[in-house]
Amino acid sequence: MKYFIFLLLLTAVACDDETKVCDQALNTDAHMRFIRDSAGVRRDTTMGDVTFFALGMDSIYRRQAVSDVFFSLSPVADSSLFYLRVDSLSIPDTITFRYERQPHFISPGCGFATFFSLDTVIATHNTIQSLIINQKAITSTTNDTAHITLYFGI
Amino acid sequence: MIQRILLYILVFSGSCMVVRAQVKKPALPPIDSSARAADTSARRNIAEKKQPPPPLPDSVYEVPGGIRVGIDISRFLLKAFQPYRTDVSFAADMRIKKDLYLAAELGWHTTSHSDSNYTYKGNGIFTTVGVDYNFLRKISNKERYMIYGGIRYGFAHLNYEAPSYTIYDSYWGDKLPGSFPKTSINAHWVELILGLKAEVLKNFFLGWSIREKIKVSGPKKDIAFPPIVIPGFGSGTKGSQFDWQYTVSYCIPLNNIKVHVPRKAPPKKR
Repeated sequence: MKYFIFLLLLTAVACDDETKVCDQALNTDAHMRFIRDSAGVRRDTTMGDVTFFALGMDSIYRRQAVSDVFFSLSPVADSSLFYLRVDSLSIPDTITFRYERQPHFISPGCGFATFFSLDTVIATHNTIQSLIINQKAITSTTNDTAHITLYFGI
Repeated sequence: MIQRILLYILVFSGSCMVVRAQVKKPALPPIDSSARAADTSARRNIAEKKQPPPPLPDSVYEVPGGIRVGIDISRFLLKAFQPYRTDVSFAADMRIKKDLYLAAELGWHTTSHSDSNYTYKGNGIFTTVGVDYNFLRKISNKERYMIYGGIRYGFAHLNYEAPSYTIYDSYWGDKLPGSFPKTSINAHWVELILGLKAEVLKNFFLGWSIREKIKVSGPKKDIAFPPIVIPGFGSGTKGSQFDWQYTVSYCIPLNNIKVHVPRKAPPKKR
């Protein structure tokens, strides 16, 4: 009996079906943070009335007060164009993301996801003062560091 | 009168000589040739004790040898738990010394998986080569039970592909289809083994072992498309893998192994 239990334990350890369980995140969202630049003093800021969406698509954020946004890039094109208005009184900006896509096998249980590698980010400067790319790789394992930081002069 | 005095002196001196002779010289044993020979051998033994004894010849006995070939039936049980895997594995070992065995395994593998996210196909072959050392102290030289530890070097070659996959994106509303072409890779690993084998019928063995496999080289976890299974190793996304084996094997008795046991000289008696 002990021998049988021992074999069962061995079987359980060595024979788990990896295709049954997806224990990893499949989201590969880009993360963009807002910074207000006031006379050279930069600080995180919450924009009071953020509307953000990809052109031709539904809104991701509609008039929400947020300090950063998460969004997915198009998995079927090498660039995506987004609309951003951070305040009801400000002039909207558009942001173009150019990137490379790579399908990535996450795990036998999860299947594939698209990983992105940012190439360039171009924005109009109606409200946006400047931007920097902090991290080019957009993967499901990305930590909380924002990929892009937007600076506003308002 | 003078004659009588001289007679007394003569008799007294003669009796004194006899008594003196009996006191000084004990009675000698009869001298013969055998007594002389005994004395000579005693002298020789004393001379021999001074020289080291000549080495004794080694003791030689034989233990049963041969080639043991078998099949790993745990691979068939494995399919019940991992239905996407089909593995066939053969094991063989050969006694090269009293407690040392040359061991090898050979097998092949196919993987076929399909769900709503992707389809996967893979196949490959593997082999391992190494040695087993039997720790079991036997009562009889003819016993062939084993409790052993072993080490193996493993190598696998495999081809795999994802004929189709779909990536879902809730925002863009896209079902992004795609495929990964066939990829060929090699993998190398080392196995550490503990196990036992029992001769349940003449030349017929059952045995099981547990083994830890450590990947030395092969597909990395962070590549875009690692294999799901590496033949002979296990998971393609892990650096080490615990596994077990249950073998049914038959020993072809081809030869006997001569074992030399050096004899030690007996300890000196005090």
